[in-house]
Amino acid sequence: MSFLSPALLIGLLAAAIPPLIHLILKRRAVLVRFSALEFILRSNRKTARRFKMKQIMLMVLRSALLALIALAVARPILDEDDSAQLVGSASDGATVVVIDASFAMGYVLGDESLLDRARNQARDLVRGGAAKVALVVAGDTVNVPVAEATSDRVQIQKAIDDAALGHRADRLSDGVARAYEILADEPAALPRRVVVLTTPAGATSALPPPPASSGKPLELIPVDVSGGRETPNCAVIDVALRPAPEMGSGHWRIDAQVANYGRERVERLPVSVGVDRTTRLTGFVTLAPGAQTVKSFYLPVTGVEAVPAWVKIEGDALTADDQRTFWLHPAPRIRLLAVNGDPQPTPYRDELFYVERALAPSATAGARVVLTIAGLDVLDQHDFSKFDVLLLANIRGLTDEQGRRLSSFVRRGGGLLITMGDRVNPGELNQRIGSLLPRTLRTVRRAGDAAASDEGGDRRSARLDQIDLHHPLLGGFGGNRLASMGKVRIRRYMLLDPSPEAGGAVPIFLDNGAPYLLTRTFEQGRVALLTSTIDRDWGDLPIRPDFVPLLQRIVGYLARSTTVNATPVLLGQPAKIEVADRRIRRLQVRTPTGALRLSEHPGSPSDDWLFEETMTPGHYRLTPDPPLPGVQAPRGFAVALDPRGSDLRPSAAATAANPTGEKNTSAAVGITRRTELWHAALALLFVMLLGEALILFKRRREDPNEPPTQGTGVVVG
Amino acid sequence: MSEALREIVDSDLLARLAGMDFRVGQTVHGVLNGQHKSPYHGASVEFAQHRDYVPGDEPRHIDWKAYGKSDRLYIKQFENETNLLVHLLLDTSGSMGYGRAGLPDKLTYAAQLAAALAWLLLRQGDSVGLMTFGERIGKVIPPRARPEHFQHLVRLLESSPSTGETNVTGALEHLAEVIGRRSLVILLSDCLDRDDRFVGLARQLQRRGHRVLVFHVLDPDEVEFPFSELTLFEEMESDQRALADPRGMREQYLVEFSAWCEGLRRQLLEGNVGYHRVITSESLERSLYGFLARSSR
Repeated sequence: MSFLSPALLIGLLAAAIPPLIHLILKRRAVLVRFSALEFILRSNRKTARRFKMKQIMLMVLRSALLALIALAVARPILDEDDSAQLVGSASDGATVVVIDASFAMGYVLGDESLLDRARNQARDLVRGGAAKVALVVAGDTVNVPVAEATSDRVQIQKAIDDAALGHRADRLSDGVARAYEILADEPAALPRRVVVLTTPAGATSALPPPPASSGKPLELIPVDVSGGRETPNCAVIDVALRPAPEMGSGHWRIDAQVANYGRERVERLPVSVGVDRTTRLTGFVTLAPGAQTVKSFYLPVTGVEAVPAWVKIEGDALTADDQRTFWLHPAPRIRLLAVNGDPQPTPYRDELFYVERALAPSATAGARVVLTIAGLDVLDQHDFSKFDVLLLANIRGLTDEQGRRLSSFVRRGGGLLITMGDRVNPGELNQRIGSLLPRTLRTVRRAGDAAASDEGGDRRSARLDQIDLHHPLLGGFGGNRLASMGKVRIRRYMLLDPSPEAGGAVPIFLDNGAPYLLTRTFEQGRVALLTSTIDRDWGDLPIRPDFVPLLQRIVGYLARSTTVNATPVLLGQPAKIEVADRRIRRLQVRTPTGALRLSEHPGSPSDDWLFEETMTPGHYRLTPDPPLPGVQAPRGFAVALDPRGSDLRPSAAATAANPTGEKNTSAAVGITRRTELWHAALALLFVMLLGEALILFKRRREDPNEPPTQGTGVVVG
Repeated sequence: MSEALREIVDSDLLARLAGMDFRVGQTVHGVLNGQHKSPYHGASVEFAQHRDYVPGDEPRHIDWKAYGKSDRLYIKQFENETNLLVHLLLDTSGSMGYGRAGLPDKLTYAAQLAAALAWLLLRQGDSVGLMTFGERIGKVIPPRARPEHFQHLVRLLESSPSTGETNVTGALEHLAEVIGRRSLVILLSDCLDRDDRFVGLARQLQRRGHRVLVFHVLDPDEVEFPFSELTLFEEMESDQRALADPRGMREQYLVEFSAWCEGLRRQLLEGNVGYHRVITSESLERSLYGFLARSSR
């Protein structure tokens, strides 16, 4: 027996009131000096036992009355084993038992898991009737150990025993569909039914309806193996990573999303983050019923290799979803060649003074930038292929050869950032690298010139405007973090030729409508153009707080390493393998269980390299096969459970349709028949009230002088 | 008690009792002429009977007229009216101190009754003595017939507190040792004596020629047992206690108590001992009138 409102059972304490009244009244007995005590003693001896019994009966009756009221209010329900009925009546029909073997069935209820309960109930089903039974197990795959309805109990029992827990949570519908296929071969004139042994959520989920058929219709009977009991569960349902330069060099912010799928509030649930087998940080979260929350951790990554990491919560009844794994990568390494077109002996007047500071290791937490500074005169001495990004800062022009090398560099995937300045010769740059530029450079424009006549001539600068936060370069920047961008004053900028075929994008405009930052893609490479200086000659952007993250974003964007994809692959979904070195044609994949798998390159460069066998949650490690000396191993990936499987609660639609939780054969049927007992409790209450009235009536008749209101008392003398 | 007793003495009750006679239904010994029949024949004018002469009888008592007629010797006997010797035995045990609120306790009531009887008897010329007793014999005033003797009796009645256990048996045993000629013994007690030999002693006294009257003094609470709340009853003559719910045991109590009263009455009456039950809720006058009316029949 269980209760729909167990919290109201606190009312059972009221059952203690009659005994308490008895004790209190006993202490308050009136003292009377009496002459004929001998007769009292004599009478007491004869009546005390009977009267005491009557009084105790009355007291117990009253306690029971109060307890019954509390019980009735708590709405008791009785779960009866109904398994035999499900199959037993179909002695000449066929039944397919579908056992849900998703990871949620690993939920431990009492001393056995839901899968154990499902196995037991399946055995009961088989033993309970003479029907022919087939078996489908929906785990990681839809397994059909008994593909044809049979009366061979031994075979079915063995198949039930062999049903193993999987990791997936989306195979139940396939299993039910498979069950329909099995029943399609059975005689339609006989009863045919599909009994699905699953979680409360599975029993109320939208399972495939039985297909129309001639003869008797197929019957779908979802069975909640928990018997309607509460299945509270907490789970780590997501982990998001982002660089956290605000916490120092090499720090990552780990946002662990934790959900409470129970009806009770969870106080101070421990959440830990660790690397390898070591717990690094632990925090606590408090979760309202049904709520989700994000717990953030900041963790430095000091090495150069990616490390397996995890977030986990304190274990509960379903341990499979208490941990979520991911790879914690060291900050990406970006090689940047900065060409200084206006070197100055005074450091802060140097064109790259602010670039150096902004890209210093201490400032680049999420991206490790290796900065190489070169003059234009020595540009030819550098091999562009050894760099990821080139910065042309205030350079007058380029030679044809340099222009061709740049074009080739960008075409192969390199990144190019061009910033303006007094030394820039627009015509020469247009001529040499015009094909790379987002727009054609025109002339230097002093901000406020045109507006001065209209606005009183008191304005000498332009402001940044129309910042496109949806641009990949600024994506995830956060609106509040661009507060200082609006204060940037740009005094001069390079006017660009308007072009109807203008490609690329303009993430940032000036408030006069002129582009400030432009990007474009050139074959495999990316180009960014800043129409003002990268130092303070034409504006004050370098001294604004947002300059550092903006420059890092630009460099990361150009190097195609802006984002680190830490999103784990959902179990059963193919994992995309990113391999930078084209020499790698085959990979050895080590699964979390230690098993080794081989994965071949798809062949075509345009096709994604996918790994399909992601059937186990955890870390997957990749190594080239055969090993290639000097070639860095590709990044591994992590596989996580589908968080939808963590919610074991009955679906809201089913609950709304059946708020009392009573039996509903069209939706979810417990293999235990649920009967509400509060009616019986109230009936018993009524009977007890009659009993009490009878006792009181008899006592009043025995003693007509008794006052109408008397306390409870028991003779103890 | 004293206030209540003075009320009796000073009230009109004594005046109203002046018209009543206390008659004992059998012969008693007396030394003075009174209203009661005497066992002594002789100096009286009221003929009683003849009996055969036996050697030793005084020849002057021979009825010669009867000898002349029947030729046999008869002795002529006359009834001699004499005064009554009365012993009042007042129970002053602790249980006699019980009294329902608004009513006199049993001792007060019994003392008032004793005073009224004493006054009535003294007025008739009878000798009245008083003995108080509880667990032991208290004070004893020998019987006297003088009118001023009443004051002595009243003073003793006023100064008798209720204490100790009831010992009617001891009191009757003592009286049996000291009592001389045939007397009237009036016992005023609630009779709550654990030793029930007193009934036999009373019957023994009756057989010895004394007239024994028992005034069984009861409180209405003892008769009706009106308690209802859970009560801790404490014995008035000891420290014994009993916690009881009167509602559950009232019926049994009443059965037990009534049976005891009835048994006591029956045993006393079987031995020709007078029994008169008085309840303190009744007026004293009514109790006395009822008793005197019965005793005169």
